[in-house]
Amino acid sequence: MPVVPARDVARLLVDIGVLLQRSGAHTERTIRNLKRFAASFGYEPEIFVAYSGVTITVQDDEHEQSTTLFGRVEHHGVHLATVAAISQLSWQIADEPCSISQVRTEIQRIKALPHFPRWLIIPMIGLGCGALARIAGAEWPVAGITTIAAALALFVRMMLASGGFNALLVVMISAAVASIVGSFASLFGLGPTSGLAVAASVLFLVPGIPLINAVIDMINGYMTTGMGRGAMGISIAFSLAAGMLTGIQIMGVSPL
Amino acid sequence: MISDSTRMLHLLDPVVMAAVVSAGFGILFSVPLRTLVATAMLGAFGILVRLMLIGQGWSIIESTFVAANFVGLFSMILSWRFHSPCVVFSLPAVIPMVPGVFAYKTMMGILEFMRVGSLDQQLMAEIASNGLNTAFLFLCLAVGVSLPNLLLRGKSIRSVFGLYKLPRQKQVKPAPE
Repeated sequence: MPVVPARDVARLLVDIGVLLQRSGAHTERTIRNLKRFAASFGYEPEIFVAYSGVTITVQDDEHEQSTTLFGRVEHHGVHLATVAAISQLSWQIADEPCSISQVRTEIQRIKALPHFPRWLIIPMIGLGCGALARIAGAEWPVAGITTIAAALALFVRMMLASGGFNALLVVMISAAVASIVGSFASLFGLGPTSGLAVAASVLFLVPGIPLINAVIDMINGYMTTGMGRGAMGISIAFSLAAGMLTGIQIMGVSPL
Repeated sequence: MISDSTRMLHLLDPVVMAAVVSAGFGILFSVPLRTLVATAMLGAFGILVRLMLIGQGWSIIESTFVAANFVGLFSMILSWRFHSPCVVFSLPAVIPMVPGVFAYKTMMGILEFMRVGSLDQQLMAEIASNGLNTAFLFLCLAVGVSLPNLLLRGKSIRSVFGLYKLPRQKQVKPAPE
């Protein structure tokens, strides 16, 4: 009873799969959503998700057609609103099926969902890192320095990332910036907790989502994506450490 | 549960801070705007559970494990309420519990070990303890976040609990030719 050609469905599914993987969904969620989309068009796809791309085979037994398409996941960012919107759309069309061109329009709309504006992200992450320092037990002035350091480092990271540098290099440089600014807490002599300014101001660079997704993927048995994400997370953590060491050596402050 | 009002005040500071942290990271991760407040509240709740358990004399790893699991459970309820995936709530909510200071101390210890260049048992013990704490705390957080996934065995929360319909806030528009 499928009326939509297998090729169109496969193209749509690859689009959605790449979008989900790019926005930081774990593999189980990607596959579950894709199957729900395919079911509403009357197909049952075979899906293979790897770290660098998504492969989908859609078979049409009636017309003896089958299509296999591959979509490349270029970068792994985090955009949870996209994940939420796709999940919602998949339920919506499961309840009342609609035409494939309508779904495609919706996906285009979801793809264009913006991030929060920079003038909001930068101060909020600054405050967030300051609050993390405060949770770890820092005095208020130290938390203030942490706020400034994190906001500056995030600004540097956004500048470099839009310049198209290697992701690991971007993390390293912004970690160095954060710890250089954070070391001023020690230089100003803000008390015994001043080392926390360096430790907390780089926390927004910690690859939390890749590492947590890696564990979730491995729990669910998707070893290839799990290993890929874990390796990426560990590389980011190491370049973060390298950047911090650079900053601390430049400023010559003693560790915590 | 808390009789002493000064202890209440002691808890209040980190709890408010945790809400700020969760909101900040929620914005960095681009959570939907309508769930931002719930995300911040969940982060505050997680750290409250952890601090209360530490106050009861639990170790930091045990209390983080239980707190992360509570975050995972409540994220299921919130996801049912707000029609959004669980990770939207649970990922920013565990960020305040990330073991940043342990990781920093581990790194500094390794650096010091390289510089000293001789077998300093005190330093070795510190590196091992801080490093293991970092690893296990991270694992606890990951298990907490993936708890909905483990409990529902890959089904979505809707197919288990709900026969509810999504709110029709927006009709799917036809394609502009």
